[in-house]
Amino acid sequence: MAVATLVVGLGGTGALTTRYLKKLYLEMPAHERVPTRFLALDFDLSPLDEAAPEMADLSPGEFRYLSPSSIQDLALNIDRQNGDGLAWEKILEWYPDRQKVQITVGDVEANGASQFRPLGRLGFMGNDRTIENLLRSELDQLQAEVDTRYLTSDRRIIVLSSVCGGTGGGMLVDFAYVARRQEGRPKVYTYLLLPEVFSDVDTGSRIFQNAYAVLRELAHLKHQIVPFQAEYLNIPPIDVAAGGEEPISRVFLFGRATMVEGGSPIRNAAFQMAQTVLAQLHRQIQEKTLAVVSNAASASSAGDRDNMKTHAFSSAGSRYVDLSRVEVKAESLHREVLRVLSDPSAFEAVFSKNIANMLEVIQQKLIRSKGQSGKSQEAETNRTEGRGDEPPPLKPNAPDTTLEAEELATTWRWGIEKLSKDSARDLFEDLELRIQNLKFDLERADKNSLEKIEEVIGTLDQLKVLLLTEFKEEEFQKKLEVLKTLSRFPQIDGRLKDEIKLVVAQGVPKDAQGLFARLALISSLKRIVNRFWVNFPKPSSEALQAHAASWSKIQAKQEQFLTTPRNNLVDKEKNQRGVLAKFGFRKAEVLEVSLKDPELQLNVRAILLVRANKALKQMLAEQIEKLEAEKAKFLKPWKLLEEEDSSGLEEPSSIPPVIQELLERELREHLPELMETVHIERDNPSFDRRRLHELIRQKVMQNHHLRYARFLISEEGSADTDRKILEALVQTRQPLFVQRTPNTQRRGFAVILVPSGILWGKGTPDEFNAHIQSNAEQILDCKAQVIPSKGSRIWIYYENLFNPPGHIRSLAEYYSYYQRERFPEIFHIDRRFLSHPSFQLIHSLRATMAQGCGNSGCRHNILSLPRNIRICPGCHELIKSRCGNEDCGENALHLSPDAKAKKCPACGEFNHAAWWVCKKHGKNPVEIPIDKYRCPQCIQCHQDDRLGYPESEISVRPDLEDSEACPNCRRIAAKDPTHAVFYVRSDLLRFYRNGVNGHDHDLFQRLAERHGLPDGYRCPSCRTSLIPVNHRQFGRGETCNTFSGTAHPISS
Amino acid sequence: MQYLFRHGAPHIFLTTEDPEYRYEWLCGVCDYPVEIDDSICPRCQYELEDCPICTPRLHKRPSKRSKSRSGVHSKCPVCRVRRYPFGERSLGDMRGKFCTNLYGCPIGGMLLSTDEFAILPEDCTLCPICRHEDLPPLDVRTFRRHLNSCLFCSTIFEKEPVWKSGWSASTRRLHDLGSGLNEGHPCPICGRNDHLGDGGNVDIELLGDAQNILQPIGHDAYLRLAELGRSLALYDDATAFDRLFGWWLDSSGQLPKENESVRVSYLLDYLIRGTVLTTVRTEVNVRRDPQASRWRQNFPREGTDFRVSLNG
Repeated sequence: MAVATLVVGLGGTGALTTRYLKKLYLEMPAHERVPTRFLALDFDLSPLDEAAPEMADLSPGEFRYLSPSSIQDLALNIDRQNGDGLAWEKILEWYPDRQKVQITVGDVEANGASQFRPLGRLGFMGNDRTIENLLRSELDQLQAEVDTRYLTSDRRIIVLSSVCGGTGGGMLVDFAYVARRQEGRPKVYTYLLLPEVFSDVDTGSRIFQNAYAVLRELAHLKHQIVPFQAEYLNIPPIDVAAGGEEPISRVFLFGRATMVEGGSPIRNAAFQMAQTVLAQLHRQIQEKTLAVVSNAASASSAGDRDNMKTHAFSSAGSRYVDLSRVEVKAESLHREVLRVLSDPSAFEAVFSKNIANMLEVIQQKLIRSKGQSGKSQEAETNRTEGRGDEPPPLKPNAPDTTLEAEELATTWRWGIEKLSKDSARDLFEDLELRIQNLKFDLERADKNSLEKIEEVIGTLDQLKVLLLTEFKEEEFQKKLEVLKTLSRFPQIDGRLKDEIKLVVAQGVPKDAQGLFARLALISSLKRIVNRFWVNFPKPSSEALQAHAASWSKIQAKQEQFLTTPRNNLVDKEKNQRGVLAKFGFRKAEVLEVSLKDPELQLNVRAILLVRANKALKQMLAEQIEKLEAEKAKFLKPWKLLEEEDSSGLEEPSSIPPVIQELLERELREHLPELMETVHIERDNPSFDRRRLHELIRQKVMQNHHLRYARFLISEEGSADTDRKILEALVQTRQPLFVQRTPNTQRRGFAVILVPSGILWGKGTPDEFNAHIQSNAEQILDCKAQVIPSKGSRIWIYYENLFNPPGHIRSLAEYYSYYQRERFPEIFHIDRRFLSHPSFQLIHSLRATMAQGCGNSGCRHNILSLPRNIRICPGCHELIKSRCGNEDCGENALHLSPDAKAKKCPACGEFNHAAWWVCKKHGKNPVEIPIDKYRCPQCIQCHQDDRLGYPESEISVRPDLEDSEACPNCRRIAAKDPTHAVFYVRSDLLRFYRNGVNGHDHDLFQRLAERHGLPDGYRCPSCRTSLIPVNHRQFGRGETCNTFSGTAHPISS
Repeated sequence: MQYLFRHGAPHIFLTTEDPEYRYEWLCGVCDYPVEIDDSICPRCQYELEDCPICTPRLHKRPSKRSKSRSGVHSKCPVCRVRRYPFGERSLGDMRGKFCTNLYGCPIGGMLLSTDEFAILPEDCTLCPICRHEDLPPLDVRTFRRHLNSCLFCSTIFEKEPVWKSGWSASTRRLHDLGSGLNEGHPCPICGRNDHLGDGGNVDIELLGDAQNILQPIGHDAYLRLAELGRSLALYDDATAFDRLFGWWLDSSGQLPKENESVRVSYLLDYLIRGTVLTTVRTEVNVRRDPQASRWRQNFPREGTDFRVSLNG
């Protein structure tokens, strides 16, 4: 249920913002509006003079001109006598003291309240009855909706103003209190412009001081930390005690707005504020924000809610991006698409133009989707099987087939290297055995024939090619041939091929998706394998050269023997057999020795690797050829469709670009699926086209997104919309607060209204929502909710709630102006505030706004204190949050686990927060932990020699030298942190410790008067007996405190 | 307004109007002058109580120890000595040390007249109260062993089961000897090396030339000696005298027979000369003169020749 709202603009800025807001409000569709009325009050007519198309005019009933003459009359005659007393005594109670400051009221009529807040308040007093009557009648006329559950009708008031002027700033607080007491106790929300907006046009040099004063008052009045009393002239007074009902529910602040070309800073800021308030006049946003804030507040703990009292300030921002509705002839976009689709020529026009591009896109899409799913399956298989000698694990979730191919190649490479290493070892064993067998054959030369011996020697010569020739590329084939002669080679070759088959799976997928993906994978794999190379060892090792030389010598001798004629021998053949066998034996021995050369094994491994690479390349090439053929076969009918001449059809009627884009999207969306399911008749392309047409039509009819689509964010236009949304998000963010200290009370949220029926070029509507939500959460640094709306705007609304005044970015600047003023009461609406003990400077109101000293109960802000000051001016105890060294930046030392260490954990220097130093004991200072008040070594010296080292010489902790806290105050403050602890200053300390002797009586009396000790001996804060007195003088059984009535005995 | 001012000693405050009126006690929290019967400090508003250890010595009245879940907080806020009431926990459960300066320190011998144990920190090498360098604190766990091995200590302190609330007040007279089994070494607490002899007598080992002067002491006389030692161990001079005087003065007003009585001077001598450890003996000696002078004050004629009946 929407809460009916009365928007009230106070002062010039308020009236200007109201005009902007009214214009925006009227532009909003009626069903989205919250029942709202507008009212503006000012002592000046100039806000009505401004003219701009973005502003609406305010009717006479909506703008009330308050005559400034009432201010002048009151201000000029404020000291008027009436009988025995003063006529305006009620006013004089809060009006700045005229003895100190004089407000000139000469030009009040021309400038309204002239940036004097007290004058603004005077104006309110002078028109109090008019204002309250206006307020009452406007609230009566609000058409509040009735909550059927509780039968209530809530109303609320939004006050627009600035914190700089006299009218807005001066009337704001009184107006809020008066509004709050109306029937139904409407809640009051204020939206205030900060002074940086006005810095260029500041004429009175009071804007920063006024801003600080307003913020200071609001920080204390928002949760009624200080009482508020107002005696009006014509209406009943207001008297709210501290802790009473809050006058203002939320205080939203606004700073400088994004500049629009040609606009002034004030206008821009007012427009920005109006845009933000407009969101609160939007039914859906208002309902949502009220629910979120209510939940945020109720979910906080009691302690948090208590702390929130000082966290009074919020900021808000709102922007929207208008979406243009798709204009079609039919009643809906969906029907329009169907209508176009019903015309075959129109379909042909879209289809023929795009089929080639679409096929390409589809292929890519298919490859991508298959690549991902296939890889994840494989990864899963590897995980579950868990083989003992597994290859290195595959990278999970690789984005495309290239990665998958790389992983496959790595797997293969790893496997083949291991295999070739084992195979080379096996081959060498085989070689060794072979040579031994040859030697055995040679040993039996007498039994073997000459041919046999020569055959053996020939085999040895073959082996020499493998073992003793250099490993060059041209020798590769010869060496391989030798290897092939080995008995184990076929088995090894088989294992290598098996390993390759593992990589290049056999068979061709039947489905399109599988086919394209497979093709992409194998192509990638081939590309990768092409890059593989094998390192051969150095061309010729010294050992190899030596063996080759031995072999050459034997060979030379053998040849010499064979060429020399030996006719005189009896058995020539026998002799030749024996000699040749000897030469062969020596050759075999050389080969045997060379077998032990480690480089040989590496070379054989390399040969095997090269062979495996070549085999893999060949197998991949075959696979690709096969897949390409299948792909061509698969695409043939689609190509035919593409080539089919559609000239027989009639010229299509003109298709709107929106529909054309939608149709293309639909085609792209559904073609992959259709390629899978539709069986294309290869000999009848026309029939296929018709069938495809029909299927697309069916798909469009089933598309529920299209059915409700109203807005189209095209793929090309998506970037533009994205940019606009991002701009809106950035402008919504209000960088008003700086988190100088952790703020656990802060709550931030964003509500994003997204019109239903958006078609997004980059995905589904849900994906669009998620896209906006993630952007919003990132930019605004808060939780964001996307809510579907019936409107036509993407509307972003953001609130940053519960910030302390100390976090306002420029507060220090305002304060610097404010604190220069000798009499700050001129900036406040009630000078009595300044004398109230709880009305503190807002940047030190709570330690959490700035920096505390780390002592329990102390709220003093030590932020501006030099870092080498070690005693807190607030509690007069040692500062525990800093180490006391000038160059150390640590601010939370007391929370560190090493807080009591001798060295500061941050800067490494002496930790003055936990230790102090006595320098009375020679060259080396004595370091003493701060839990000891006095130096133990001094005490020892005193005990050893009471006269030579009197008690007065004992060093005491630095913070105790100057002052000491009243022990009873300290005890009370431990339970009630608001209790102000009284510190006994240095001049009083000796009387506090040792009492008052007769000759000091007069001196003490003067001191007691100066320090305001009640009865001359009591603590001014807790009234306990501070200075030693004879408490028995009050009578037996009674103590001096019996009369004070404030102190109570306690058990420790 | 009668202001007070510190005069003479750190704990003495006088009034400006009446110099005779003295405040002799200080609040243990804020050092404000208070009276001994003030229940609340007029300055810091803490409830005050007396600590048997530090109040007599420092003239400070600490704040009342707060109650925690496990009972009353054990540490005195002024002297920081832990005190456990009898019965709250047994000796075996306690960790720490006890002062052995039986006669010279208010916490000597660990048992207090307020029916509490006084326990020092485990790591202390000197008693923080008497700071006696020759009588260092011992581990609490050895207390029972020393008690069992010393006839004098087991007589004056009795055994653990009887240490309960009202122990010091209820035991007016001693009727039984302890059961200490002497091992030939002087007790580190009382400094004595007494042992049971024949016929119920107690042989007291004496120092040097004094050995020829004193006779072995009988059972009843030893009990009177133990009463003297116990009073000096548990109370200050005045209180010790008051208690002894109350016990030993026959209510009928009749003088005891010579063979059924023993002189106070003898008891004092037995107490001093039977203390074998010189350091302890020095401490006993310090306590002797005040006692003797009080007897002389109260019995100008007999003085320390006052005869104490041996019949309990």
